[in-house]
Amino acid sequence: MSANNMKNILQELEIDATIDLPSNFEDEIKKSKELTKQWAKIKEEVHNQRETHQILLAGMQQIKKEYYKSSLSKDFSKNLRKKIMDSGSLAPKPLPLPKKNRFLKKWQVLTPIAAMFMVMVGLLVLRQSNLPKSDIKVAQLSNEQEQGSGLITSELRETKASPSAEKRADSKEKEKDVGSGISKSRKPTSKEETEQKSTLMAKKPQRDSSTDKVLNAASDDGTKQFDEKALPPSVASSMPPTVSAEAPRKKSGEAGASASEKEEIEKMFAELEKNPNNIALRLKLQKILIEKKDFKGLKRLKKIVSK
Amino acid sequence: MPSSLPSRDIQDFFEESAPYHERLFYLACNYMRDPDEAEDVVQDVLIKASQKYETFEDRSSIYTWLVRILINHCHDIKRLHKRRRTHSIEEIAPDGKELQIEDPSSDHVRNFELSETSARLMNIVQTLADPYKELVLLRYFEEMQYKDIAKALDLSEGTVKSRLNQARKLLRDRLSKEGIGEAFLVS
Repeated sequence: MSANNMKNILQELEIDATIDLPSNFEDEIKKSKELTKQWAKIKEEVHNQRETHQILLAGMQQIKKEYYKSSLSKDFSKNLRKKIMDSGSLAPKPLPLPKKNRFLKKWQVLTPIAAMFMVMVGLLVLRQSNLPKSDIKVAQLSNEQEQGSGLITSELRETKASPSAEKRADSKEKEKDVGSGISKSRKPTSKEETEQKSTLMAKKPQRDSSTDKVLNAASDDGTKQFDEKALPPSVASSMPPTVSAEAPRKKSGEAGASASEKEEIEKMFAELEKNPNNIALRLKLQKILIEKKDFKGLKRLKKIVSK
Repeated sequence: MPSSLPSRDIQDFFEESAPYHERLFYLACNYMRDPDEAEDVVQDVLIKASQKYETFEDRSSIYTWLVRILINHCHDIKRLHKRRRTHSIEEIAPDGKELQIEDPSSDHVRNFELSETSARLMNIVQTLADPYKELVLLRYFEEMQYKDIAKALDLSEGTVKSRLNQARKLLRDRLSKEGIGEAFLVS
């Protein structure tokens, strides 16, 4: 046997000491000094390992013999077969569903999932639509403001063509009107509007003093923000700063509306009497009268129109 | 029989696994304390195997595959026993009574009529850590080849060899202390 082969065997012995060795193994080792040295290093360990291997083999054989005295029960196979059949592990599988049924089955699974998804989306939307308190206040106040200065807004709305443009104009108005009550940037488009503007200008002195203070403060700063301290305590405490500038208009609208509005309505009646075919004016007047629930005025309007 | 296909499958499974039922039983005996429990384990293992029979690939022999399932099943049972034992200890402990915890390896094969030396040898093997114990049982009790052991335990052949070397080293000291080695070598 070559030295190389012997070297390989020694290396193999280091990994697994139980391999079969050639009968003349030790004689072959003695032929080479290097191999003898190498073998000397592992000899004891290999012997121990091989001995343990023998003990284990013999011991386990003995144990097996003793184990064999006990065996599986006679009915084991029968019971096992029965149990396997009952468990259905190798039972016939249902045939694949026809295409239509498969599609239906898919939908039977998908529908509840889709429904759940819709509910989730709905909940999310609802949650988002639940505005914080400050936002609700803003909305309320702007509504009140709109009602209070209904005249102004209605006039402005009439002049605007589209609702979106109207909204934009309203918001612009709110921003710019704080001090003066009239948008300076907007040019009057007709005689009618010039008149309306003049009536609005007339309304200004009728505002109460507290509101005027606020408005003056706002106009002095040149911004729509104003000092809350200038507001009456009841108003200041309940309003967020961004909308508080709008609030005084409501008060002024309520206070000075009746006289100026009557005056304005009268003017509109006079105008209509002169020119009953002015449909725009008629509609505007009708709207104002309906808003004010002025039935007498409405009757009067009807008379003028029927002429 | 419900139909020809499944009956053929059952037949196949029985034909292929039947020669190994006893061997599996004896292997299970090494894990369980009593032959009845070992039989139950083998039955459970074969039912489990029948459920997975369709997925069985011929890369290893059916016996290696069954051994693998059996070992995993025995581990599960062992874990369950351990948990139960801990529970029962927790239940008794608050009473302040002194607890006497049984050493599971002390009379591992009490229900088998093993000779004294065999029982001692088996108890020494049982003291090994699981990775070594499994290798020793598969190599010396089941007399499996390295490659089959490697497949059954999902290890490389090199790992199997080196671990067996370590296991033998560990056993050598214990066997010589107990004086068992000579008894087997002489007989």
